[in-house]
Amino acid sequence: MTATLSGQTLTESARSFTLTRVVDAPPELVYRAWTEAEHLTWYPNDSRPVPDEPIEVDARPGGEFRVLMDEYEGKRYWAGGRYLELVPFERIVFQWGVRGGWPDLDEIPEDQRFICTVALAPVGDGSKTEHVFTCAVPAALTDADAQKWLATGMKQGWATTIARLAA
Amino acid sequence: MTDAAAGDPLSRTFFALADPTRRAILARLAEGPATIGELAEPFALSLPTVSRHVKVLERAGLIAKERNAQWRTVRLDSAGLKAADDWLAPYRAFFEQRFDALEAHLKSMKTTPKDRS
Repeated sequence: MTATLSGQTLTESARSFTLTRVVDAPPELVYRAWTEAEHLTWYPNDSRPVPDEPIEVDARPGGEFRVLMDEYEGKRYWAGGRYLELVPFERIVFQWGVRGGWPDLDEIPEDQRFICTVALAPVGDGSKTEHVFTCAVPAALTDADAQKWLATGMKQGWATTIARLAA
Repeated sequence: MTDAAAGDPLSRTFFALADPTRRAILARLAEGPATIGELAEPFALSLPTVSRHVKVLERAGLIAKERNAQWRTVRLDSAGLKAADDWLAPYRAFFEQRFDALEAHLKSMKTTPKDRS
């Protein structure tokens, strides 16, 4: 617990998180896996039947990716993001959510949307990629509001996700 | 600011954590309970000022006061900290899981897959 308490770490970790991993594929492939509809199939729950609804990707700033999530029997919703920035093979920045899905971008003002960043960098001879994913709560969003929409309809879904992880 | 201080428990927690002096007080308390006087020492702050910070931290559920034989000491209350730190945990877990699937997918994407056992 002492480590968590040092300096600003706690506050920062409470408003954002970063996941870093090295994946066994060159940056170009990882970028395509994020930005091409035929390859974004990893995003929905792979332990459920693949939904019939096609994955949509419009990979340009202002465009969106939409994926039907089939969380478990009886719980389906559109997920995805709206691109803010796309630097081929290097960087993808998007607002987390979709219109009419979860998080619902129709409901969340522009300056209050979670920002996700995917940063890609070649490792070694370039056959591997450091994949750094950051998800940050925007400064304009109060903690209470962030919690409110995070909690909307999702508590049960996340509980299932965690249970599946722990299994 | 006043709203956050008076808001729901988690807002109070973040409001309390936003101040560097209060974070330093928490760091000190992570080493063990202390009296108000001991907390004031490293900061060159008056006792009333430290008491005010302690009150904010206490309202946020981050610390608790306890009365020993003679001295009133302050100690960490981990429940408040845990609530703040766990806030995004489900989302972290969600994306971790997605990226496992991404890695599996990348393997299938490779046009010239390496031999693997």
